[in-house]
Amino acid sequence: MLGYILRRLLATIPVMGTVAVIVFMLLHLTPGDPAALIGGDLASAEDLRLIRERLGLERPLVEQFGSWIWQILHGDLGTSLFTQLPVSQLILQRIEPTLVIGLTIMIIAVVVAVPLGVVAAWKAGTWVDQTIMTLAVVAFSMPIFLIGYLLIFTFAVDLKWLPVRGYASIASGPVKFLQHIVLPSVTVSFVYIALLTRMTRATMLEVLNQDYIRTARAKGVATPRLLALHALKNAAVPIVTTVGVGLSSVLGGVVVTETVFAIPGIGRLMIDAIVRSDFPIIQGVILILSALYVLINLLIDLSYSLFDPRIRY
Amino acid sequence: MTLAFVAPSSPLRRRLAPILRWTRRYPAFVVGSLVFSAVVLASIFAPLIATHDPVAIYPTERLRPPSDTWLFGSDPFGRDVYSRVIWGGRVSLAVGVGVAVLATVLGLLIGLIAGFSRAADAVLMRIMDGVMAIPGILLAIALVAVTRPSVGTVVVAIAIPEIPRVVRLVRSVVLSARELPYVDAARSTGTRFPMLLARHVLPNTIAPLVVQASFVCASAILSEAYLSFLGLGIPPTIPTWGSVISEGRNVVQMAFWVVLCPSVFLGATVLSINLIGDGLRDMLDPRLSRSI
Amino acid sequence: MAMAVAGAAPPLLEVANLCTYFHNLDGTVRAVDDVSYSVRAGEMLGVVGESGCGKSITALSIMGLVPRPAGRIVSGEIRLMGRDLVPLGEAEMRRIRGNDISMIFQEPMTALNPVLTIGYQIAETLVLHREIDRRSARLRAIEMLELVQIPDAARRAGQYPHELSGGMRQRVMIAIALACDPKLLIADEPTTALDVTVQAQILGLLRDLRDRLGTAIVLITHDLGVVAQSCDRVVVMYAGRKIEEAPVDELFRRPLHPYTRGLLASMPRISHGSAAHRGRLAEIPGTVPHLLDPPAACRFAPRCPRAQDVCRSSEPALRHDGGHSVACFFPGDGVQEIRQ
Repeated sequence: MLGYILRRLLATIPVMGTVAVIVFMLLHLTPGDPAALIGGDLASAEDLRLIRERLGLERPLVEQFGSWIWQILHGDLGTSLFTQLPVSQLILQRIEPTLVIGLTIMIIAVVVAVPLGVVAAWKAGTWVDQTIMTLAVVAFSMPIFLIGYLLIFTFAVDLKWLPVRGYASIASGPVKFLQHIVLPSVTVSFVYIALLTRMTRATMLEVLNQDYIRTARAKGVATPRLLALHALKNAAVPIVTTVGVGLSSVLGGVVVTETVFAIPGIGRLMIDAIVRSDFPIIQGVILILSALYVLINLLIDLSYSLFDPRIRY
Repeated sequence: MTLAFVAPSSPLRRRLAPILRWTRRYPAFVVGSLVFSAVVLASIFAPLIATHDPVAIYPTERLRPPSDTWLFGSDPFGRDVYSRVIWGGRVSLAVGVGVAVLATVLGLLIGLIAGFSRAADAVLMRIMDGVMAIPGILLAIALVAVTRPSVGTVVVAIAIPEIPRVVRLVRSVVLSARELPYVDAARSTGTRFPMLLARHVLPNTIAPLVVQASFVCASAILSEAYLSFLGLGIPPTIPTWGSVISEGRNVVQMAFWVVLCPSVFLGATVLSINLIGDGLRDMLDPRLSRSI
Repeated sequence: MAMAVAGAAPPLLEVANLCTYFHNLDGTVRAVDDVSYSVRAGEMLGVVGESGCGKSITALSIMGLVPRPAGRIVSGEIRLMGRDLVPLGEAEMRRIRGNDISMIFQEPMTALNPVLTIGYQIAETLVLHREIDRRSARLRAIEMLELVQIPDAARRAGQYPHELSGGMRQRVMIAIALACDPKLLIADEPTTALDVTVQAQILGLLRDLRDRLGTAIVLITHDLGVVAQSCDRVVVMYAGRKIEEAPVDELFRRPLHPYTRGLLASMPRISHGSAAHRGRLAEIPGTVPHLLDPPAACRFAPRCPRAQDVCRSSEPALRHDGGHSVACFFPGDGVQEIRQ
C-alpha cells in the first residue's frame, strides 16, 4: 500500500516538472526581449539593464531554470516586481476565497449532479431524461458572466437577499460568510454540474446494463437500493475521476467569477499581475493552482480502492 | 400531423417523410444546426444585416435601451450593440473554428505518434498531463500576455490547452485499433505502415475527432469571450462578442442590455454548437458518450 | 394443462396459456405464444429448445422481469400454489423474488456484483426477506456456502467475486438463490458457460438439493445431455410454443415430434461399432423462424421432413396420451395423421 502511494507520488514529479518548464518558459517565449516585456514600452535602456540584472536574464537558460527550481523547492516563489513583496506571501493572503469557493462548487456539484445523473439514467429515454440532459447542455453553454449577472440581478438587486459583490471570510461570522459565497459558487457550479450529470448518466447506463443488476432484481432488491448501492458503487470510479479532472475548468471559472463578483482571490491577483507584467506572480499563481490540481487528482486516484476492490495495490 | 397539409400520396410527401422521421430522431442536432447556420449567415452577411457601422460613435446616444433604432441598445461610447455583435460574430466564430482546426490537427499528429511509439508515448503523455494540470484560461491568459495580442496569438493560446484532450482521444483509438485482430492479421501479412495507418487507424479517428472538434469550437468561443471580458484578449479595436460584453461591465447596473443581449447571443451560439456535437456523437457512434 | 397423474402431489407452479409479446416499431414479436407447463415440489423439469424459442422469456415472465416497456405478458396465468402472479404489482413480486421463487442465470462471471463481498450478496437476500439481523444473516450466508460445497466458507464469505473461479461463482449464485428456502428454483442455462467437469459438479449439486430440500427446479437448457442426466420430465419448446412434453425416459425412448427426433438424432454418439457407423452428424436443416407476426401454420413446417399441406395451413394443437403430449399432425413415425 505504501509502495503504491510512493509510486503515485513519484509519478506526479514529471507532471509538475512539465508545469514548471511551461511556467518558466512563459517569460522566454516572447519573441522580443523578456526584459522589454516586463519593462513595457516606456522603459529606457537603463531600466532594461536593471531588469535583466535583477532577474538574472543574462545567464544561460538552463542555469536560470535550475536556480528558479531550487528557489521554489525552498518555498521561495520569487518577489513581485511591482510591490517588492514575496510572491508566496501575496498568494497566501489571497488564496482563501479562491479555495473556499472552489471547494463549495465541488460540493454543490456532486450533491446535485450525481442524483440527477442517476435519475436520468434510470429513466433513460423518457421526458425526465431528456429534460435533464437538455438542461445540462444549456447550463454547459451559458457564459459564466451571464449566469453571474442574472443571479446578481435577481437575488442581490431585486430581492436583496444576498450581497452584490465581495467576499467575507469565516472569521466575520458564518452567516455573512455563506451569504457572500453563495452566488459566486452557484454561478460556476452550473458548468460543473452539467459535466458531472452527463458523465454520471453515461456511466450509470453502462452499469445498469450489466448482468449483476439483473441478479439483484431477481433477488427482490428494490429500486432505491439497486441504484444507490448496487449500481452507483460500480459507477463511482469514473464519476470521481471526472470530479478530479473537472477541477481544472472549475479553477478557470473561479478566476472569471472573481471579476464578476469583485472577489479578492488569486484570480484577480493574477489578472492584475498580467496587466503589470509582474511575472513572478503570474508564474507563482499558475504553479500553485496546478500543484493543487495534481494533489487533488492524486488523492482521488488513491481513493479508488475504496470503491472498487479489484483495484488493489 | 406535420404532413397533413401535403396530399397523401404525392411525391413531395414521400420525399419529406424520411427527413421528418430523421428530424424526430435527432431533434437536438437539427435545432443546433439551424441556429448555428443562422448565426454564420448573419456574420457573413453582416454588412447587409447590421443597422449601423460597428465602430461608429454617437456620443448623444450613449446607453440607450433597446429600441427600433438600437436593436440591442447602445454601449457606453454610443455605439450600436447589435451591429457590434453581428460584426463581432465574424471574429468570434473565426476564433472558434480556428482553434478547433488547430487543436484537432495538432492533437491528431501528437496522438498518432504517442499511439505508435511507446518511447514517445511516455514522454508525450507526461507533457500532456502537465498541460492539463494548468487551468486552461490561465494558460491562455499567460500565453497571450507574453506575445502581442492579436487574433492569431489568441487562437494559438486557446488551442494549446485543448490539445491534450484530443491527443488522449486519438491515442486511445490508435491503441485499440492496434489490438484488433484484423489489424494484427494485416501486419502479419506484411502490410506496410502507411497503409496500416490509412486503412485501419485513421478511419476510426474521424468520427470521434469530428465530435470533439465541435465541442472544442464551442469551448473556444467561450474562452475567447472570457479573455476579452477580462480585458486580456484580442485588442478592443476589433469587436468580438467578448469585448462587446466587457465594455458593458462597468455599466451593468444601469444598462444591463449591453451585457445581456450579446451574452444571450453568445450563449445561444455556443449552445447550438454543443447540440451539433451531441447530435453528431449520437449519429456517428452512441458509444462515444462514455468518453466525451 | 396440468398433468393429472393419479396420486401425485398438486403442482407447485402452473404456467397456463402464457403469452408474452414484444411490441416494437416493426410489429409484434410473439416470444412466448400460448405456453403451458407445471412443476411439482421435488421435481426437476427440463425446458429444452434452441436460442430464441422463448424458454428464457417464459422464465422471466414467471419472475416478472420481462424487459419493459417493449415486452408484456399479454394473457395467461402463472399460478404459484394456486395464486396467480400475473396481476401482481411490482412490490408484491419483489417479495416473491428471491424468496418463493429464485432464478440463476447463465453467465456466472458477470452475474455477481464485483464491488460487494459474496457473503454480503448472500446475506442481502436474507435481510430483504426475513426479519433477521446482519450478524445472523452473515452466519446463515456461511452455512449456505457450505451447503453448496464451497470449502473454507467463512474465509470465502469475505472475498470478492473476482477472487473466485467460474464454477465457484455459479455455486455462489445457487447459494444466493437458495438462501431463503424458495419453493422453486429456475436455472437458466446454469452450466452453458462452464467447462464439462464443472458442469457435472453443478448438475450434481442441483440434483442433490432437489433430493434433500425438496426444491422444485426448472432447468432451462439447449443441451439434451444435461436433461437426460438430471431431469424428471422434459418440455420441448420451439419458436415460442411448447411442442412436446414427457417424462424423461419416455421422451428419449419414444420421441414423437419431428423436431425432438431431429434433436436426438443430432446428438453426437460415441459409437462402439465400426467407423462406418459413425459418419456425418445429422442436422435439422434451415433456421429458427422469426417470431414477428407469425403465420397461422405449424411453425416447424418449413424445416420438417414430413410436412404436408395441412401443416402449412393450420396450427396443430397439443394432444395428450397418458403423460406424453405433442403438437403435431403426424407424430411418431409420421405415418398416421392425427385429426385435431
